[in-house]
Parts: sequence; C-alpha cells; structure tokens
Amino acid sequence: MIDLTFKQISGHKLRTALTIIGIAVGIGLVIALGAIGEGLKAGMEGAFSGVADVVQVQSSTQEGLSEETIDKIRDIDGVERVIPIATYVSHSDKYSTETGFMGITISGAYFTAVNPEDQDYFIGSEIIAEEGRKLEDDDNGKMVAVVGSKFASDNDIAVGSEIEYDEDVLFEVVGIIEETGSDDTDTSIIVPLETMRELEEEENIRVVVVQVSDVDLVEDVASDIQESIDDVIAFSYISIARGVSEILGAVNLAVMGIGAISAVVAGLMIMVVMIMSVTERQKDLGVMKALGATTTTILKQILEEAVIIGLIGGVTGLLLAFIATIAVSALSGGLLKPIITPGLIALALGFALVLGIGAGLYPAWNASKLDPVETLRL
Amino acid sequence: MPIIKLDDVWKIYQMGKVEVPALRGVNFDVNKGEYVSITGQSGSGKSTMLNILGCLSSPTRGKVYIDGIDTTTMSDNELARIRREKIGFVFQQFNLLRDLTAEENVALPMRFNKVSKRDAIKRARELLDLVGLGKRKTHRPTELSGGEQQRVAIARALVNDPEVILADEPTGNLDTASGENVVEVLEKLHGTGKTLVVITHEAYLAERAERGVSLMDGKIV
Repeated sequence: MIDLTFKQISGHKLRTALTIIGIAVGIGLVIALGAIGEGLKAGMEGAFSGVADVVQVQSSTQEGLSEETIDKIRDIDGVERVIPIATYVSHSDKYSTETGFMGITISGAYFTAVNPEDQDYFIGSEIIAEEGRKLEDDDNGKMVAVVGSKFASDNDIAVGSEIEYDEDVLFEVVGIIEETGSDDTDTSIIVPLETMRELEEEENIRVVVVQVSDVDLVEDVASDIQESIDDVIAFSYISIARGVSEILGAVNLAVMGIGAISAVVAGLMIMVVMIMSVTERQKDLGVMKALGATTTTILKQILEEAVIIGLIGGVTGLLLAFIATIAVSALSGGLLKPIITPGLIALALGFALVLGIGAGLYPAWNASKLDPVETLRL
Repeated sequence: MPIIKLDDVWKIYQMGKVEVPALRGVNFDVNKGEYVSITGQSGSGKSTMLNILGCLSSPTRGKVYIDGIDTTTMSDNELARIRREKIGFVFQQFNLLRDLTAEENVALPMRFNKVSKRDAIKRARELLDLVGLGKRKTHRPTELSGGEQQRVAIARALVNDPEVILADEPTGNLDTASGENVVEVLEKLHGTGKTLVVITHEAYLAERAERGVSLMDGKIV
C-alpha cells in the first residue's frame, strides 16, 4: 500500500519538506565532511606514494654532510641508493609563478640542484622534456637548467632563454619539462648539483635522499642512520604520513561526532512529525482498524512513511553533499578534491534508513495500538 | 444457524473503583438475510451493542458468535479479519478518509485483504456505479454531499462482500431526502440477501425493519 503512504506524505507538503530539508542538511554535512576527509586521504596517499621508500637525511649543523658521512650512510643495511640534493633561491626578483592553491602567486625562483643521473627521481622517469632536453651526465659543472612548464609560461621562458640566479650569474635553459599537474615539478628549475656547489663554494652536501631496498625497512633504516652517524637528522616520510593519518583520524572522529548529533536531531524531527501525523490522523487510523486493518498493517503504514521521509532526506542530503564538494573543490582552486565514495553513499542511505525506522517505531507502535472504539468517538 | 449470536453478553466498564455495566446478560440472534433494527434511548447500551456486534470490542462475560465462530477468544488480528471479511460498517459520521478519493476509500478494505490496487479499484468502481455515484469516483469526501458520502460508505461496506451490514445511525447526519435515499440503498441491498442490522433512535427507521429490538439499561426489552 505504498501509494497510500505517498498520499499521506504529500498531503502535508510544507511539513514534510521542512523535515526533509532538516535531514538533508544533517546528512549532507556529514557526507560532505566525509568526502573532504576521503579527498585529503587520497591526496596524502598520492603525495606519499612516490616517497614511501625514502629517508631524508640532513646535517644537524651548518656544516652539511661530508663525503665520508654519505659513505657511512651507503654502508647501512637496507640502503639502496643515496641521492644528494640542494635547493637555492634566486636573488633576482624578476620571477613569479602562480600556484594552484587558491591562485596564490609565489615570487622568486627556486633552484633544485641534483646530479643529472638523479633528476628522474624528482620529475619521474616517464616525464619527458616538452622542448629541448633533460639534464645529461656531462652537464655537471655547466650553467644549464631545465624548467617546469608553468614556470616557463609564467615567465616567458623558452629553450635558449637565460635565468638569472644572481647578478651576472645566468643559467641557460636547455629544456622545458612537459606539464605534470604537480606544482612541485611544473614550477621547478632543475640545475646540476656540481655547478651549484662550485658557485656557492660548498664542500659538503646539504641533504641526501636515501632510497631503501624494502619499504618495510624505512623506519628501521632511518633510526639506524640517526643512531650510528653523528650530527645528522634522519626522518622517513612514512612517519610524516603516519602523523597526517592521525590528524585525519581525529578529523574523521569529529565528523562522526557531528554525524551523531545530526542523527539525533534528524531522528527527533522525524519522530515529532510522525507523532503529529499520528495524532492528527487518530480517527482515520481508528477507521482503518474498524474496517479490518491489522495492527501490523497500521505499524507498517506509519513506519513506511517515516522511512520514506528519511530516505528522501538521505538522497537530498547526498545531492547537497555533491554540490558542496564541487563548491569546495572550486573555492580551493582544486587543492581540495573531495571524493564521495560508494561507502559514503551507502552510509548516507543506510543512515537515512536506520533513522527512519528508529524514529518511526515509537509513533508507529502507538498508532497500531489505537483502540478503534475510542478513536471512532472522536 | 444465526449469522450473529450473542449468548448472555455482559459488558462492564471500570470507572475508577466503580463498575458500570453497559450490557447486562444480552441474548440476541440475527438470522442470515434478516433486517433487524436496534433502538434505545441515549445511554441504553446501543453503542456498546454495536461495538460487540461489530467485533470492535470484546464482552466482559458471555459469548459472541459470528457465522457460528466464537469470537470472544480471538486475537486482535483475528478480530480484524472477521471485521474485514464478515461485516460491513456504515457509520453515522461516514468516516471516509479525507485524503483519499471516493474509489480509493471504497477499495480500502480490499487493500487490507491484500487484493491488488488495480482489482480493488475495479470492484470499487462497480460498487460506486451500484450506489449511483459512478460519476463521482475521483472526488474527495470534501467534494461530496453528506448523502453522497454515506453512499460511498455503503459501497465501502460492501466491497469485501460481507455477510452482514452493520449501520449505526446511517441517516443521523443527513437531511430527510438524503436519508431516505440512503435507506433505500440499504434496503435494496437487503433485498439481494444481505443481513442488515440498523442501530437507530429514529422510530420511523426502526419500523421499516422486519424485526425490531429495544435496549433499555443494557437489557433487551
């Protein structure tokens, strides 16, 4: 008798609509927050997926890491490869790059110095030079650079252009890397490490990235380096990821808290509406019983109404959450990419169903127990 | 075998510590196809008698048989089935569901019997034609006159083809012409073999029945 149920619901449009909006806002909020959490999680997993097997080591003093220290790191069990790296900021104020984060522009030029054989570690072996070429082994010591596509387009740089590192210190651009979608790469300037060390007259290496043979050994290798080598700081990205995970876990707990409050509020709304509805329709329900409706028939009828209101609220909430995620993504300039997973959809609908049943039970039970003799007197 | 049999039926209401008997040892039979009226003053026990006859409430003592079946030990759901299948109710206040159309109201008891909506509406339309409301099928109760509403209620009472039609003051809320029309419809149904029990305080209506009983202080006199 679902048609009768819909008739009852549509008979009180304003009341039903207000209840549905209340439920939709509650569920929409929980799903939107959940989708943002999922997006952050996916973003974090993406960001850390390439560096899960990596330990970063830097000097705890101003001295930097000597060749001797780097050799000691190479000798530690589980270490597969040691990649030296250094970053430098141009003293020139000619350059600026717009980032993807809410359209914010960063000023200056950031030089990443690596040995040419290690450049793929930073830009990816699949990524090619869109124009010109990547760094080559014999570029070490030469004043050459490859730049990210965004840096190039924002600063009108082409192959053959020169980038000013310092007054009269110019790097010739030999290649422009294809667009990767990652700000780190698209706004980068990659130069040979030896060239930079000579320019800055540095004997030691600032930072090394240590690749570990087995991802499970990462934290052990980090602590081995920390304990066996003096004056270094070694940390793994996994430990950072774990920290971020814990923060996300706390955010999820907060979302669940908000969800629980929304559930109680939405449940009470349905219950109040159904109690009002049953009170108003006492006589009708009594007539139905007099005409032969069983206790179960009445119980089912009222429960169906509550469940349908709950489910419509759930679906509307999902739509609101969907709109909210699009808005959040647009407002953050694509930095936040909320994801409504099938799990979240199931949660919203399951939540709405349980809410409807839970909130409908009491009024339905009361309605089913109405005495037709008493109600017919009304 | 009578279609309805009341055997020494007592109904006592508990009002705080005081017991108030509404029916006092009533013995009453209605035979199949009979047209019986029950009359009585206000407070004589008419409404209680209607509730007992219609299986809407159970007696405090005594037995009630409908079509030979003892209903006094039945569960609520079994009593609902008896009301659905054996008895058709016509109330003084019509008691149509305001959100439903005439045909949906008539079809309702069939829907409780798990008949499909399509079949129930088909039967409802036939019955509305029978009571002269063929053109008012999709009107809601608020769009119908009192007499029309009562005829919808009669059609509803017939929808599950019950043995007995139990009419409680069927003309009580109607003007004379509409009341006469409703009585004619009921009598026509009796003419087709239906058992008709009319509860009324109006003498002219009671006199039209084949047999009349009077209630006073909870007893048949």
